[in-house]
Amino acid sequence: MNDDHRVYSVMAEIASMLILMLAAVGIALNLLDISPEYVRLLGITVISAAPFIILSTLALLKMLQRSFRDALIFITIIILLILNILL
Amino acid sequence: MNPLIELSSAATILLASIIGPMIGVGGGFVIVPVLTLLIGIPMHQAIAISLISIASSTLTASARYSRSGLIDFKTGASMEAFTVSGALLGARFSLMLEEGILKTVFGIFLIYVAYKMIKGQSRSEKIWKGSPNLFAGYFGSFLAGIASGLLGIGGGVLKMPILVLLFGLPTKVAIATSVFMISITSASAVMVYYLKEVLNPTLAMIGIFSAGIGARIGSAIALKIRPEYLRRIFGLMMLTFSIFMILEGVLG
Repeated sequence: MNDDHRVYSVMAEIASMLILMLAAVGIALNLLDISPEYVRLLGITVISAAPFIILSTLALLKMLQRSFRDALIFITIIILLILNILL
Repeated sequence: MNPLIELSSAATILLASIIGPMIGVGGGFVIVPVLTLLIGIPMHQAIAISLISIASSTLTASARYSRSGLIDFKTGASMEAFTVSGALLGARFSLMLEEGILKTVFGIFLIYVAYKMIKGQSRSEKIWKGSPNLFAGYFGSFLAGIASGLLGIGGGVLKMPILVLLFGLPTKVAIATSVFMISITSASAVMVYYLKEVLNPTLAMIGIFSAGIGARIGSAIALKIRPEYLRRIFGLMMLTFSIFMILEGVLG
Protein backbone atom coordinates (compact mmCIF):
# COMPACT_ATOMS: atom_id res chain seq x y z
CA MET A 1 0.00 0.00 0.00
CA ASN A 2 1.57 3.30 -1.09
CA ASP A 3 0.87 6.90 0.02
CA ASP A 4 -1.97 7.36 -2.52
CA HIS A 5 -3.82 4.33 -1.19
CA ARG A 6 -3.22 5.33 2.42
CA VAL A 7 -4.47 8.91 1.92
CA TYR A 8 -7.44 7.82 -0.18
CA SER A 9 -8.58 5.06 2.20
CA VAL A 10 -8.44 7.36 5.24
CA MET A 11 -10.25 10.23 3.50
CA ALA A 12 -12.89 8.01 1.87
CA GLU A 13 -13.55 6.25 5.20
CA ILE A 14 -13.95 9.60 7.02
CA ALA A 15 -16.23 10.94 4.24
CA SER A 16 -18.41 7.81 4.20
CA MET A 17 -18.76 7.81 8.01
CA LEU A 18 -19.65 11.51 7.99
CA ILE A 19 -22.24 10.98 5.26
CA LEU A 20 -23.71 8.01 7.11
CA MET A 21 -24.00 10.02 10.35
CA LEU A 22 -25.63 12.99 8.58
CA ALA A 23 -28.08 10.66 6.86
CA ALA A 24 -28.92 8.98 10.18
CA VAL A 25 -29.53 12.37 11.84
CA GLY A 26 -31.64 13.45 8.84
CA ILE A 27 -33.79 10.32 9.04
CA ALA A 28 -34.14 10.57 12.84
CA LEU A 29 -35.28 14.21 12.65
CA ASN A 30 -37.68 13.27 9.89
CA LEU A 31 -39.19 10.55 12.10
CA LEU A 32 -39.65 13.15 14.86
CA ASP A 33 -41.51 15.33 12.37
CA ILE A 34 -38.84 18.01 12.54
CA SER A 35 -38.08 19.20 9.03
CA PRO A 36 -34.31 18.66 8.85
CA GLU A 37 -33.71 20.78 5.75
CA TYR A 38 -30.23 21.92 6.75
CA VAL A 39 -29.12 18.36 7.70
CA ARG A 40 -30.38 17.01 4.38
CA LEU A 41 -28.70 19.83 2.53
CA LEU A 42 -25.45 19.18 4.39
CA GLY A 43 -25.65 15.42 3.71
CA ILE A 44 -26.23 15.88 -0.02
CA THR A 45 -23.52 18.56 -0.20
CA VAL A 46 -20.99 16.37 1.60
CA ILE A 47 -21.62 13.36 -0.65
CA SER A 48 -21.33 15.56 -3.74
CA ALA A 49 -18.21 17.28 -2.44
CA ALA A 50 -16.44 14.18 -1.06
CA PRO A 51 -14.83 13.08 -4.36
CA PHE A 52 -13.87 16.71 -5.05
CA ILE A 53 -12.07 17.03 -1.67
CA ILE A 54 -10.41 13.60 -1.96
CA LEU A 55 -9.20 14.26 -5.51
CA SER A 56 -7.86 17.68 -4.49
CA THR A 57 -5.84 16.00 -1.73
CA LEU A 58 -4.51 13.39 -4.15
CA ALA A 59 -3.55 16.15 -6.63
CA LEU A 60 -1.74 17.99 -3.84
CA LEU A 61 0.02 14.79 -2.82
CA LYS A 62 1.16 14.21 -6.41
CA MET A 63 2.47 17.76 -6.62
CA LEU A 64 4.42 17.29 -3.38
CA GLN A 65 5.84 14.08 -4.90
CA ARG A 66 6.72 16.16 -8.00
CA SER A 67 4.55 13.92 -10.27
CA PHE A 68 3.05 16.88 -12.10
CA ARG A 69 1.58 14.84 -14.96
CA ASP A 70 -0.38 12.69 -12.52
CA ALA A 71 -1.45 15.80 -10.60
CA LEU A 72 -2.75 17.28 -13.85
CA ILE A 73 -5.06 14.29 -14.37
CA PHE A 74 -6.66 14.84 -10.95
CA ILE A 75 -6.87 18.62 -11.51
CA THR A 76 -8.70 18.03 -14.85
CA ILE A 77 -11.45 16.11 -13.08
CA ILE A 78 -11.68 18.78 -10.34
CA ILE A 79 -12.12 21.46 -13.04
CA LEU A 80 -14.85 19.35 -14.66
CA LEU A 81 -16.64 19.04 -11.32
CA ILE A 82 -16.44 22.82 -10.74
CA LEU A 83 -17.75 23.44 -14.28
CA ASN A 84 -20.64 21.15 -13.44
CA ILE A 85 -21.60 23.34 -10.48
CA LEU A 86 -21.23 26.57 -12.44
CA LEU A 87 -23.09 25.52 -15.61
CA MET B 1 -44.18 11.28 1.85
CA ASN B 2 -45.88 7.94 2.56
CA PRO B 3 -43.93 5.96 5.25
CA LEU B 4 -44.55 2.76 3.27
CA ILE B 5 -42.70 4.25 0.28
CA GLU B 6 -39.81 5.32 2.54
CA LEU B 7 -39.61 1.89 4.19
CA SER B 8 -39.82 -0.10 0.96
CA SER B 9 -37.24 2.20 -0.70
CA ALA B 10 -34.88 1.68 2.25
CA ALA B 11 -35.31 -2.11 2.06
CA THR B 12 -34.73 -2.15 -1.71
CA ILE B 13 -31.57 -0.03 -1.53
CA LEU B 14 -30.23 -2.01 1.44
CA LEU B 15 -30.77 -5.33 -0.35
CA ALA B 16 -29.32 -4.04 -3.64
CA SER B 17 -26.24 -2.72 -1.83
CA ILE B 18 -25.69 -6.02 0.01
CA ILE B 19 -26.11 -8.18 -3.09
CA GLY B 20 -24.41 -5.76 -5.53
CA PRO B 21 -20.83 -6.46 -4.42
CA MET B 22 -21.50 -10.22 -4.45
CA ILE B 23 -22.60 -10.29 -8.09
CA GLY B 24 -20.33 -7.49 -9.29
CA VAL B 25 -22.83 -4.70 -10.00
CA GLY B 26 -23.35 -1.33 -8.31
CA GLY B 27 -27.03 -1.87 -7.60
CA GLY B 28 -28.58 0.67 -9.96
CA PHE B 29 -29.96 -2.13 -12.14
CA VAL B 30 -32.04 -3.32 -9.20
CA ILE B 31 -32.80 0.02 -7.50
CA VAL B 32 -34.22 1.90 -10.53
CA PRO B 33 -36.66 -0.83 -11.75
CA VAL B 34 -37.94 -1.64 -8.24
CA LEU B 35 -38.43 2.02 -7.32
CA THR B 36 -40.29 2.78 -10.54
CA LEU B 37 -42.20 -0.45 -11.27
CA LEU B 38 -43.03 -1.68 -7.76
CA ILE B 39 -42.94 1.42 -5.53
CA GLY B 40 -44.23 3.89 -8.13
CA ILE B 41 -41.58 6.60 -7.83
CA PRO B 42 -41.22 8.71 -11.03
CA MET B 43 -38.33 7.57 -13.26
CA HIS B 44 -36.19 10.72 -12.95
CA GLN B 45 -36.48 10.70 -9.15
CA ALA B 46 -35.62 6.99 -9.06
CA ILE B 47 -32.50 7.66 -11.17
CA ALA B 48 -31.38 10.44 -8.81
CA ILE B 49 -31.95 8.27 -5.71
CA SER B 50 -30.13 5.38 -7.35
CA LEU B 51 -27.13 7.62 -8.15
CA ILE B 52 -26.83 9.03 -4.63
CA SER B 53 -27.16 5.52 -3.15
CA ILE B 54 -24.45 4.22 -5.48
CA ALA B 55 -22.21 7.19 -4.56
CA SER B 56 -22.58 6.29 -0.88
CA SER B 57 -22.00 2.55 -1.28
CA THR B 58 -19.02 2.87 -3.66
CA LEU B 59 -17.32 5.49 -1.47
CA THR B 60 -17.45 2.96 1.40
CA ALA B 61 -16.30 0.09 -0.81
CA SER B 62 -13.49 2.08 -2.43
CA ALA B 63 -12.02 2.91 1.01
CA ARG B 64 -11.77 -0.84 1.66
CA TYR B 65 -10.28 -1.59 -1.76
CA SER B 66 -7.76 1.22 -1.27
CA ARG B 67 -6.64 -0.29 2.04
CA SER B 68 -5.80 -3.43 0.07
CA GLY B 69 -3.76 -1.32 -2.37
CA LEU B 70 -5.82 -2.57 -5.32
CA ILE B 71 -6.90 0.72 -6.93
CA ASP B 72 -4.95 1.92 -9.99
CA PHE B 73 -5.45 5.65 -9.41
CA LYS B 74 -3.59 6.78 -12.51
CA THR B 75 -5.65 4.71 -14.97
CA GLY B 76 -8.88 5.32 -13.05
CA ALA B 77 -8.40 9.08 -12.80
CA SER B 78 -7.41 9.49 -16.46
CA MET B 79 -10.48 7.52 -17.57
CA GLU B 80 -12.66 9.39 -15.09
CA ALA B 81 -12.06 12.72 -16.85
CA PHE B 82 -13.99 11.29 -19.82
CA THR B 83 -16.52 9.39 -17.71
CA VAL B 84 -17.45 12.48 -15.67
CA SER B 85 -17.92 14.49 -18.89
CA GLY B 86 -20.19 11.74 -20.23
CA ALA B 87 -22.11 11.47 -16.94
CA LEU B 88 -22.82 15.21 -16.83
CA LEU B 89 -24.06 15.11 -20.42
CA GLY B 90 -26.09 11.96 -19.76
CA ALA B 91 -27.78 13.46 -16.69
CA ARG B 92 -28.74 16.64 -18.56
CA PHE B 93 -29.96 14.58 -21.52
CA SER B 94 -32.00 12.37 -19.18
CA LEU B 95 -33.87 15.38 -17.79
CA MET B 96 -34.84 16.35 -21.35
CA LEU B 97 -36.27 12.91 -22.15
CA GLU B 98 -39.79 11.76 -21.44
CA GLU B 99 -40.27 9.04 -18.84
CA GLY B 100 -41.55 6.50 -21.40
CA ILE B 101 -38.46 6.83 -23.61
CA LEU B 102 -36.17 6.58 -20.59
CA LYS B 103 -37.93 3.41 -19.40
CA THR B 104 -37.59 1.82 -22.85
CA VAL B 105 -33.87 2.67 -23.06
CA PHE B 106 -33.33 1.35 -19.52
CA GLY B 107 -35.22 -1.86 -20.37
CA ILE B 108 -33.11 -2.48 -23.47
CA PHE B 109 -29.89 -1.88 -21.52
CA LEU B 110 -31.16 -4.18 -18.76
CA ILE B 111 -31.51 -7.05 -21.27
CA TYR B 112 -27.78 -6.74 -22.06
CA VAL B 113 -26.85 -6.80 -18.34
CA ALA B 114 -29.21 -9.72 -17.64
CA TYR B 115 -27.67 -11.67 -20.54
CA LYS B 116 -24.15 -11.04 -19.18
CA MET B 117 -25.20 -12.16 -15.70
CA ILE B 118 -26.96 -15.34 -16.84
CA LYS B 119 -24.10 -16.23 -19.19
CA GLY B 120 -21.49 -15.72 -16.45
CA GLN B 121 -17.87 -14.64 -16.93
CA SER B 122 -16.39 -15.71 -20.22
CA ARG B 123 -13.01 -17.39 -20.03
CA SER B 124 -12.35 -16.85 -23.71
CA GLU B 125 -12.17 -13.06 -23.45
CA LYS B 126 -8.76 -11.94 -24.63
CA ILE B 127 -6.80 -9.46 -22.52
CA TRP B 128 -5.07 -6.67 -24.42
CA LYS B 129 -1.37 -7.60 -24.34
CA GLY B 130 0.13 -4.60 -26.11
CA SER B 131 0.20 -0.98 -24.96
CA PRO B 132 -3.22 0.25 -23.73
CA ASN B 133 -5.67 1.21 -26.47
CA LEU B 134 -6.16 4.75 -25.17
CA PHE B 135 -8.57 6.08 -27.80
CA ALA B 136 -10.97 3.14 -27.53
CA GLY B 137 -10.62 3.13 -23.73
CA TYR B 138 -11.40 6.81 -23.30
CA PHE B 139 -14.25 6.74 -25.81
CA GLY B 140 -15.71 3.72 -24.00
CA SER B 141 -15.35 5.57 -20.68
CA PHE B 142 -17.24 8.52 -22.12
CA LEU B 143 -20.08 6.20 -23.24
CA ALA B 144 -20.12 4.50 -19.82
CA GLY B 145 -20.46 7.95 -18.24
CA ILE B 146 -23.40 8.82 -20.50
CA ALA B 147 -25.13 5.55 -19.53
CA SER B 148 -24.49 6.27 -15.85
CA GLY B 149 -25.90 9.82 -15.88
CA LEU B 150 -28.76 8.90 -18.20
CA LEU B 151 -30.00 5.75 -16.46
CA GLY B 152 -28.84 6.09 -12.84
CA ILE B 153 -26.43 3.16 -12.92
CA GLY B 154 -22.81 2.91 -11.80
CA GLY B 155 -21.69 1.74 -15.23
CA GLY B 156 -19.36 -0.94 -13.86
CA VAL B 157 -20.60 -3.45 -16.47
CA LEU B 158 -19.21 -1.16 -19.16
CA LYS B 159 -16.07 0.00 -17.32
CA MET B 160 -14.89 -3.49 -16.33
CA PRO B 161 -14.38 -4.78 -19.91
CA ILE B 162 -12.57 -1.53 -20.79
CA LEU B 163 -10.19 -1.80 -17.83
CA VAL B 164 -9.50 -5.50 -18.37
CA LEU B 165 -9.56 -5.84 -22.16
CA LEU B 166 -8.22 -2.45 -23.29
CA PHE B 167 -5.99 -1.37 -20.38
CA GLY B 168 -4.87 -4.90 -19.43
CA LEU B 169 -5.56 -4.57 -15.69
CA PRO B 170 -5.91 -7.77 -13.63
CA THR B 171 -9.55 -8.49 -12.75
CA LYS B 172 -9.18 -7.68 -9.01
CA VAL B 173 -7.48 -4.36 -9.75
CA ALA B 174 -10.09 -3.61 -12.44
CA ILE B 175 -12.95 -4.20 -9.96
CA ALA B 176 -11.35 -1.92 -7.34
CA THR B 177 -10.53 0.78 -9.90
CA SER B 178 -14.05 0.58 -11.34
CA VAL B 179 -15.55 1.08 -7.85
CA PHE B 180 -13.29 4.13 -7.28
CA MET B 181 -14.41 5.55 -10.64
CA ILE B 182 -18.11 4.90 -9.98
CA SER B 183 -17.96 6.84 -6.68
CA ILE B 184 -16.84 9.96 -8.59
CA THR B 185 -19.13 9.44 -11.62
CA SER B 186 -22.30 8.96 -9.58
CA ALA B 187 -21.53 11.82 -7.16
CA SER B 188 -20.97 14.24 -10.05
CA ALA B 189 -24.06 13.06 -11.98
CA VAL B 190 -26.31 13.32 -8.92
CA MET B 191 -25.36 16.98 -8.58
CA VAL B 192 -27.13 17.70 -11.88
CA TYR B 193 -30.33 16.11 -10.57
CA TYR B 194 -29.94 17.88 -7.22
CA LEU B 195 -29.41 21.32 -8.77
CA LYS B 196 -32.45 20.77 -11.02
CA GLU B 197 -34.46 19.88 -7.86
CA VAL B 198 -35.33 16.38 -9.05
CA LEU B 199 -33.72 14.68 -6.05
CA ASN B 200 -36.14 14.05 -3.17
CA PRO B 201 -34.14 14.99 -0.02
CA THR B 202 -35.92 12.55 2.33
CA LEU B 203 -35.44 9.61 -0.02
CA ALA B 204 -31.86 10.77 -0.67
CA MET B 205 -31.07 10.52 3.07
CA ILE B 206 -32.69 7.06 3.20
CA GLY B 207 -30.70 6.03 0.10
CA ILE B 208 -27.37 7.26 1.51
CA PHE B 209 -27.94 5.51 4.84
CA SER B 210 -29.25 2.19 3.48
CA ALA B 211 -26.56 1.99 0.79
CA GLY B 212 -23.77 2.82 3.25
CA ILE B 213 -24.91 0.09 5.67
CA GLY B 214 -25.60 -2.35 2.81
CA ALA B 215 -22.15 -1.85 1.29
CA ARG B 216 -20.50 -2.58 4.66
CA ILE B 217 -22.46 -5.83 5.04
CA GLY B 218 -22.12 -6.79 1.35
CA SER B 219 -18.36 -6.28 1.12
CA ALA B 220 -17.87 -8.28 4.34
CA ILE B 221 -19.70 -11.36 3.03
CA ALA B 222 -18.94 -10.99 -0.71
CA LEU B 223 -15.74 -13.01 -0.47
CA LYS B 224 -17.31 -15.84 1.54
CA ILE B 225 -20.01 -17.01 -0.87
CA ARG B 226 -20.15 -18.48 -4.37
CA PRO B 227 -22.07 -15.91 -6.42
CA GLU B 228 -22.86 -18.11 -9.48
CA TYR B 229 -26.43 -19.05 -8.53
CA LEU B 230 -27.13 -15.59 -7.18
CA ARG B 231 -25.96 -14.05 -10.47
CA ARG B 232 -28.29 -16.31 -12.49
CA ILE B 233 -31.28 -15.62 -10.22
CA PHE B 234 -30.67 -11.88 -10.45
CA GLY B 235 -30.07 -12.16 -14.19
CA LEU B 236 -33.53 -13.72 -14.61
CA MET B 237 -35.04 -11.09 -12.30
CA MET B 238 -33.47 -8.31 -14.37
CA LEU B 239 -34.76 -9.92 -17.57
CA THR B 240 -38.28 -9.82 -16.11
CA PHE B 241 -37.80 -6.19 -15.06
CA SER B 242 -36.53 -5.29 -18.52
CA ILE B 243 -39.68 -6.69 -20.19
CA PHE B 244 -41.94 -4.72 -17.82
CA MET B 245 -39.84 -1.56 -18.24
CA ILE B 246 -40.07 -1.75 -22.04
CA LEU B 247 -43.81 -2.51 -21.89
CA GLU B 248 -44.42 0.44 -19.55
CA GLY B 249 -42.21 2.66 -21.67
CA VAL B 250 -43.94 1.77 -24.94
CA LEU B 251 -47.53 1.42 -23.72
CA GLY B 252 -47.34 4.23 -21.14
